[in-house]
Amino acid sequence: MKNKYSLKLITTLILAYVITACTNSDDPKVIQEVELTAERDGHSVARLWNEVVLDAIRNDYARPTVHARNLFHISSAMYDSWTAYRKTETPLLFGQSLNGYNCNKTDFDVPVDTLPAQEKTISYATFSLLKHRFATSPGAGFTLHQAEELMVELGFDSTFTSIDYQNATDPAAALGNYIANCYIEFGLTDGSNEQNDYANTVYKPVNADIKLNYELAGNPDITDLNRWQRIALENFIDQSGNLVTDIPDFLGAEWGQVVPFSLSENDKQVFQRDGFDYQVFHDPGSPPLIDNELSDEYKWGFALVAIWSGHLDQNDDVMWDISPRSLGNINSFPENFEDFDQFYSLVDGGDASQGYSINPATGKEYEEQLVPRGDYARVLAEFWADGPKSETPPGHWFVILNSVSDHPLMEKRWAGEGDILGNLEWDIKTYFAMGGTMHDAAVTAWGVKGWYDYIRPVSAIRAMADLGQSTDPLLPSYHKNGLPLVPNHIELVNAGDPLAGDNNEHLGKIKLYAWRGPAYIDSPATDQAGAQWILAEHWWSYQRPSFVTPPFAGYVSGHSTFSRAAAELMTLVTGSEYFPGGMSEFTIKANDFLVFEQGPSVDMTLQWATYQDASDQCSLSRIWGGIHPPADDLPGRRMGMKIGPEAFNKVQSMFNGN
Amino acid sequence: MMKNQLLFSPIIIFTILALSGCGGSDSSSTNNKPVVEEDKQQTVVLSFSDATSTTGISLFHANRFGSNPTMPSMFAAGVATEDYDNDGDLDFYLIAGESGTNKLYQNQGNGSFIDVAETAGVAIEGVKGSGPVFADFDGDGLLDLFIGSVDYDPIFVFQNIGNGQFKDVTTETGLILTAPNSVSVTAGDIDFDGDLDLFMSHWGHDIDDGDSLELIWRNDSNVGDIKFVDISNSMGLNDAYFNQFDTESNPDGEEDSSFVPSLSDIDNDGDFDLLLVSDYGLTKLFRNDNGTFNQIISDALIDQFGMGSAIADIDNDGDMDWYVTSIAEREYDGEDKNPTAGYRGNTLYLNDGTGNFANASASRKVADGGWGWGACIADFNNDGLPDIYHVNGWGQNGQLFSMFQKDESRLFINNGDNTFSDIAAVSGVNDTNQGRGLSCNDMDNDGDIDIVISNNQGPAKYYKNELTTGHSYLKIRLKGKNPNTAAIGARVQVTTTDNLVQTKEVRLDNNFVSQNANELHFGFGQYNGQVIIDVTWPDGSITQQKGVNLGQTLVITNQ
Repeated sequence: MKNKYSLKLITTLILAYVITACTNSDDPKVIQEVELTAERDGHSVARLWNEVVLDAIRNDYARPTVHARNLFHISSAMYDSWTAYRKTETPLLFGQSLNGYNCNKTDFDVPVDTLPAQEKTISYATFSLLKHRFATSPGAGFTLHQAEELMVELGFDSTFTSIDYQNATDPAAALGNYIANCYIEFGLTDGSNEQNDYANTVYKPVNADIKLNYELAGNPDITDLNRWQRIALENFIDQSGNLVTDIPDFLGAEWGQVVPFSLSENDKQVFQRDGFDYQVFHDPGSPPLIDNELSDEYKWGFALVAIWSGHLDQNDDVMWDISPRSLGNINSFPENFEDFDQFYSLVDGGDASQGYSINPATGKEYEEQLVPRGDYARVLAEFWADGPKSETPPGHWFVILNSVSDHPLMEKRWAGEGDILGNLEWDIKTYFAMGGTMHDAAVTAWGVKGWYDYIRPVSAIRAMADLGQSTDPLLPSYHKNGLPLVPNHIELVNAGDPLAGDNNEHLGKIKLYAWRGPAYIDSPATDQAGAQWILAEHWWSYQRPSFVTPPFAGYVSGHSTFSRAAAELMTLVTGSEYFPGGMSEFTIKANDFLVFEQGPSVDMTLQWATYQDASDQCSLSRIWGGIHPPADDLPGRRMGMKIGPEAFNKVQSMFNGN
Repeated sequence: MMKNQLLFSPIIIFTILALSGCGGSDSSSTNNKPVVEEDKQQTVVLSFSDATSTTGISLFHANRFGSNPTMPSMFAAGVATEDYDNDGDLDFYLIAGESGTNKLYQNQGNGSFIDVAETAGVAIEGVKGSGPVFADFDGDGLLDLFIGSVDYDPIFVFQNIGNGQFKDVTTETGLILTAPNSVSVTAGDIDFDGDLDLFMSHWGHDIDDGDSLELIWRNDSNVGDIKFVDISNSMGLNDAYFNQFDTESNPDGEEDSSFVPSLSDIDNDGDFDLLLVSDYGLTKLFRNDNGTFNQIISDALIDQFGMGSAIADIDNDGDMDWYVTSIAEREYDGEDKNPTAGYRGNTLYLNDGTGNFANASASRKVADGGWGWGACIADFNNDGLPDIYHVNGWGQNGQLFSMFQKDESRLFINNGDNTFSDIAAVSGVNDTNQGRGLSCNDMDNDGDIDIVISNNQGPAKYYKNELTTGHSYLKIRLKGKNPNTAAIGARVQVTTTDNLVQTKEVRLDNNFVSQNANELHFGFGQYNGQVIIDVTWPDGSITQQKGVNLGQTLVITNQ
């Protein structure tokens, strides 16, 4: 780890006089000198701890729900530690009651020089809670090492465990431990089932597993094309020679019942299945089903995913401008599934971006950046999958928040107004707001996922391929629930087609012009699968072959919900919809970024003018990644549009003492 | 921590049996006789202290097991030890893994280390690195640095440009790999042009007929310009792993399962033979016949899961023996069959002087080392008898082999009677982390062998040897002719007046993902007289030093 901690505490005589209370005006005024500690150089302690938390997440399992909650609770514990020494702001848990859990508070002496005490309380609270939450992580040893190293750097004793902040030798440290203990105890009551490693209590998938390897075709065992199914890698050796045997269960099917931050009971609906109450906030209604009035929209959506996977080829000579000049600035999107084809381009890919003529921060035009679409789409799919370093989407938005806070043009005014805040106050407040937002996004999206239990593209496309084509009853292999035919993209295998097979055994099957899949990648460093005509029954999502698709239902997209909620929040917190300087960037080197296969073929820079542009791009990336159809996306964005402002309003109100 | 001490028996008897009939060519010409040293009322205490934090070392290796756990990410790690800055003391480079930044610990000469990776230009971050080595690839007298990797992460070649600085020249070297993992590397001159050719293991490399193993890379460097060309196929290795990895679950699994390549002259004919420790019972031996490798098909190669490798003349008979770590049977509390049933553990191949090996691990009592990885052979108590240290461990909670999770590293001390005793616990080096690589060298220049351990998903450890005995030692470094500036391939024999003959090769050792420095270390027990040093240089020339006093570090230069 780079030596990035500047530990110098500048002690300055800032405010020198405190006038002791004195009712008799004749008495001489007693003037007392007090030394106040100024803010430390460089990053705040909150930021230093946030980096340790993000590293802990990177070394844990990729569990977006669990980590949204961890980020929220740890950010809240930091916030409570900070507010414990202040008068105005209302804490979340310290001295409060939440969901029937009481975290009692006894009055204690607040030192006049609060900053060192706040830093210490924040550090102990984070250290204790982090240790507890990551105790069984596969990276537990690493995380503990990082945390202890930071305690040492900060000059704190990591063996001090007292929670008695009234009587302990070090009350500020004990208060931190006490606050952490409240979050630990509360966490055992919040519906997450943390004590059983967050397992589902009732949920069971209705479908038999889909079995995948490079030879197996179709989806022969599925019974309900509207519902989720587990992915079983059968007799599958991954690219590193490992036999993959794990069949992941639905992660967080019952997460809708976890105590949220700002979600309102008024926005909640409860649905029953198998005796379990599925709690759904901001219910978006049912996604298109294969056999209801939205059957065409179902088929269109999954066909679109298959067609877009055909874009994942750097050699198809399609060039796109990926700068804000052409991308972003989406002002509206359709409400109804029937109108989604007005927003997404079925054949060419992409959305209804308008782009911007001028960067408002510089007054200049955004510079065009032409790159192969096949590079751009693959980069997006990998960049947004779990974030650049696998911090999962909620962690990724903390990384984005940190980079915004670090930007030299960023003025840390809360909501873009008032005084510039110190680093600690800014970090405490923004983390608390972002943590609450990400947690609410997880509760909302996974509530919907658990209840609607919607199918993923790899299941749907292979299952529809098994049924045939749904376009023309007069053509071979007609089935009303088959794949729709789209000339040049989804067609029938006719006589003479090289895909028909030696004995015409594949005649009449459906073929796709699509990314060929991991069977064509011997070495991800030097090989690309490319796009070609393949049998639809062999379609793969653009992911690691040992992973295929995240282990939970698709509807609604977690990425869309997290990202839109975060983008709304960033806009409100900074007072601007634009990134500082009117653009944020991420540099990608040619052939030094993709890990699923070789690429991209050129250097490129991902660029976003606004937070929402980044969010919208994140949403699209999941379609090219082959794991969400449009139906999963826009309802998630719509939910995020509500969650971000709700969380912001709640923190605003708490900051004002409500 | 309790201070652990080992009290040896007060009577120390060295019994050096001359095995002249067994073909140890050099020792056969000397008139060996049993040597008995009388006790000098001195207690020999071998103990180690964990000096990791007190000497300034802090590194916790971690790959991201949560998001993409793979076998290679669980076995990769590494450490390389050498005097990269030519200031006379040993420095080391440590792999931090995917979650951290690699460190280059520069020896400050006062018993402490400072990480200078950033300023040296080798602070690789976020890479699943494996098997670093220092070697002078371009023959300019400065040690360059190679860093392997697993799971298709990038490899690196850093050219040492002097003043402690390195330059990343990877893309210019011609090292283009399709193999997923570059686990361990070694180097030596196999085409007799003087420069160091590169050997790389690629466990898990899926191969089709005709594919190169990408194992042997001919050095075509000039000073300041490091270049390698893959010659694996022309060296006759292309089918070495073919049709040998078919299993029930993977009937067409053509895979290279090599873990450690080593170069040693096992048949005493003056050239490097190739010893290729491989997983799944596929360890291979290639004899060098005039620059090409011919595989020796031998029933004697019996290791079941070859992982770590250590080569030395462990019985002081003048030829190179070979210790291969593996997996030993372990009690199992599951309901099904013990998955380790029949696992024999480590193999100690004793050489008859012609390159024929016979396993002696059971009788020598060095077979059970748990789930063994990197191993080194060194004389830890300076008694003239080579000992073995190896690290170990495997598995995570809930996994099949989790009973090896807390394996204790083994320190097998040579008793001098053809047996060894594991004294790791009493001497304080029973590290219970997931050990992978290690370096065994005199890091603090006090005359005894210290140990640096690279753990996977665990802290790096520096165990300082606190040997209190007056046992004598001698350290020798060779300087060869350009471009082989470290005289890789030389052989050194040190002979006492009472005819204890110790033989060492100058190799670019690889213990599994890790390298020992090329500082030859000899112990002599109570002997304190003078010694004769015979050096057979890589070009075959022989030099001799007589009347050499012990207790010093000698640098011998090939004029």
